[in-house]
Amino acid sequence: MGAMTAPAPSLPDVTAPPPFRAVYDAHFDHVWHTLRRLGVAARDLEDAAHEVFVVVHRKLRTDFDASRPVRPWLTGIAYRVAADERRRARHHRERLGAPDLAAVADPGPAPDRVVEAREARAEVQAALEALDLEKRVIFVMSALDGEPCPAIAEALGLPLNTVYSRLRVARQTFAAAVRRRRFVEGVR
Amino acid sequence: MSEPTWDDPEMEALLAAERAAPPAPAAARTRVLARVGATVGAAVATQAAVEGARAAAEVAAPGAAGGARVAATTGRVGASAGAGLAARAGAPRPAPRSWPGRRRSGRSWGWARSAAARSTWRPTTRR
Repeated sequence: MGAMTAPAPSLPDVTAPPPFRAVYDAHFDHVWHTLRRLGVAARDLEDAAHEVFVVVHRKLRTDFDASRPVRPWLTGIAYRVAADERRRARHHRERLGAPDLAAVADPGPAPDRVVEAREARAEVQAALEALDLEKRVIFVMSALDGEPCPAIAEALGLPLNTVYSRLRVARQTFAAAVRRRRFVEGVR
Repeated sequence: MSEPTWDDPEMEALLAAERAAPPAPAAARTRVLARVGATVGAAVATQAAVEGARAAAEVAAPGAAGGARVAATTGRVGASAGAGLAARAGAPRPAPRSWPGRRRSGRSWGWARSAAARSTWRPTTRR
């Protein structure tokens, strides 16, 4: 007679949405930096992050697809929240000014390397300002988050070829903005 | 169209610094979580209040009908008791509220008043 076998442990339900708190803890920094890179002012970052996670809480129960990666999905929500922020008239004037350096400030100690990194981040933020939001989100997802174009297209609900063409233009615009800024800084 | 490639070491160095940005402030992380909790909690409470009000309305409709029935019964008992007290005080008993057969026969209500005066019926009083 064969040995009695223990009942197989029940496998976790991979189709179930992850709990909200797990998503929040794992991806808060990603949402925070994405909003900042999409041009949300430092003082509005908490409000925008709050809006993003209220939407996340609702969508986790209604239309979350567990078979897809979470990050592009979150970026898509953050993009819509950033676009809403931008549409509000009170922000329009501020967008035309210099990038908000407080958003890239590092509260830690400031040796040379930290200062250089901070300046580089400020340079990136300034160059991102040269992109309109539609190209900016694609550039951020590709160049900073490392998302492949098909995932970007799916997260933003865009045709793949539109993502390709916008990414190509965004890279050229970004590089031109960086070089222009360096040239102006060098002349001074 | 294929995925565009980008080989620009200068830009790549710049973007690497941005990728290594420090984490979001811990205080902001805590505050945002608390605010999301408050917003979601308020939404749940609002939904519960709406459902509670709907359930109360469903229960209250038959309740109101029952209340009306109780009020009608109380009114009838009160009228009956009032008639008894009036008879005891010597006043003629009020006529029954309706007696269509009699009314159709053309007889006046006087018969009822005299019948009430003759009646030995008295309301029972609970002590």
